[in-house]
Amino acid sequence: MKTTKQKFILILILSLPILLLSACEGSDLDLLEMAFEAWAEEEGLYEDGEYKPEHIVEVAVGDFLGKITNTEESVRFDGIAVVRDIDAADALAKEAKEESDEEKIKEAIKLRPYDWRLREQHAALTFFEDDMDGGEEIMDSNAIIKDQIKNGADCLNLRTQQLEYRVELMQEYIEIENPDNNPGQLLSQYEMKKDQLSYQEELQDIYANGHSSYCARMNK
Amino acid sequence: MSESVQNPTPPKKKRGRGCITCLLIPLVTVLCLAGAIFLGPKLAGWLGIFGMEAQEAYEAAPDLAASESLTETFAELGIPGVRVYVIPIKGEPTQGAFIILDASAGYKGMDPLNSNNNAFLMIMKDITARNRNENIRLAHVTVDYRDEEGNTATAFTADQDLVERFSDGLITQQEFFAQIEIDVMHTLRYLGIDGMLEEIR
Repeated sequence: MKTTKQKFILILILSLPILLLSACEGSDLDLLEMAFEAWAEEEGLYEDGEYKPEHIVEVAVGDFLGKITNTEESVRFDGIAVVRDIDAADALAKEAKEESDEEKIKEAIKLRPYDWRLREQHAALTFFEDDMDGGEEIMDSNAIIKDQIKNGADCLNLRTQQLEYRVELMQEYIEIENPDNNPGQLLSQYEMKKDQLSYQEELQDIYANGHSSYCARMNK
Repeated sequence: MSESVQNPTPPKKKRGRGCITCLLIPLVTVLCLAGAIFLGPKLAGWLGIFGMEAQEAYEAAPDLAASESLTETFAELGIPGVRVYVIPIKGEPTQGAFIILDASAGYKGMDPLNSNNNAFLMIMKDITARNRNENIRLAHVTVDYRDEEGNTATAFTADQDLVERFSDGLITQQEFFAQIEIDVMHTLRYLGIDGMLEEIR
């Protein structure tokens, strides 16, 4: 027999997420209410107009086991934390560029070691600040991309994204004002312009002909 | 033959083996349990029995073009505070879409202008169309509702196949919601009612 308290808890479980989403209005509230009710019915928490609070324990235990065994659904929910890592790493990379702080980009890479964008950021920063070094970091980015392509990623799509990202990043460094006329940085900017042109040519080839010399080499 | 009465040697005091055993059994049990809880899943993961951890499954950089395209779905409908991350799934030819509905970034609902159109259906239709036309190869759509402090309040996930059946009108909204998965544990933790659950048990 269910106590009033149990009923209260179940109602709380089903309705509080909606109430707590204070930012959501009108249509979202109705939508979430419908979603939770339909879900509760499917999970056996609500049957024939009656709440079955005892089933929430089964649902919670199932969920807990899912977390331990990494079921598909549990991995997707944990993916939300990965999105937060992506945001944190991107924020660190931004700070690294603004403050010319290589340690920060290294910290970002530690957080997301297989994110090629961070390797590109590291390469550009090192190239700009350290007299055109940074070849190693570019190689890291290329190696990650190559790995993804070997694992089935679309080469043309990924290469296009890499080149677009690289060209845009280079542009940001080229546009940095250099009031002290630091010769190393001036030279880096000059070299970046040259490299940027060659990457833009490859991009033009992709846009116009759907062809990339890089992917052609990869397919051999 | 004289019978000499020998002083009986005092019985040896039994060493407290029982106590040592008493200590060892729980210790070994605790170690086994700890091993099973902390190392078991990792070991099983290496052996391919359990699935990958999320950090590994979504280790690659987001698909920038696909993320931008799906974020546009919301921007074009005039819905602020939404970001979409499309992340390749390791070892699969597919990707996962993470839709972040973030009140701390200005999200105020799927129909901020109260147009009374079925905004949810329009969004699902648009995601389906972009997935098909741009070959995004979505495996799932996971929605993260964040509150005004940016904390996840609740989340749900649906297979892309389910999203498409709903968008194509093959199932109703009610049937769609009945088949999604809600992150119950997180939602309960967010509400702070873990203790209350204990009472039900």
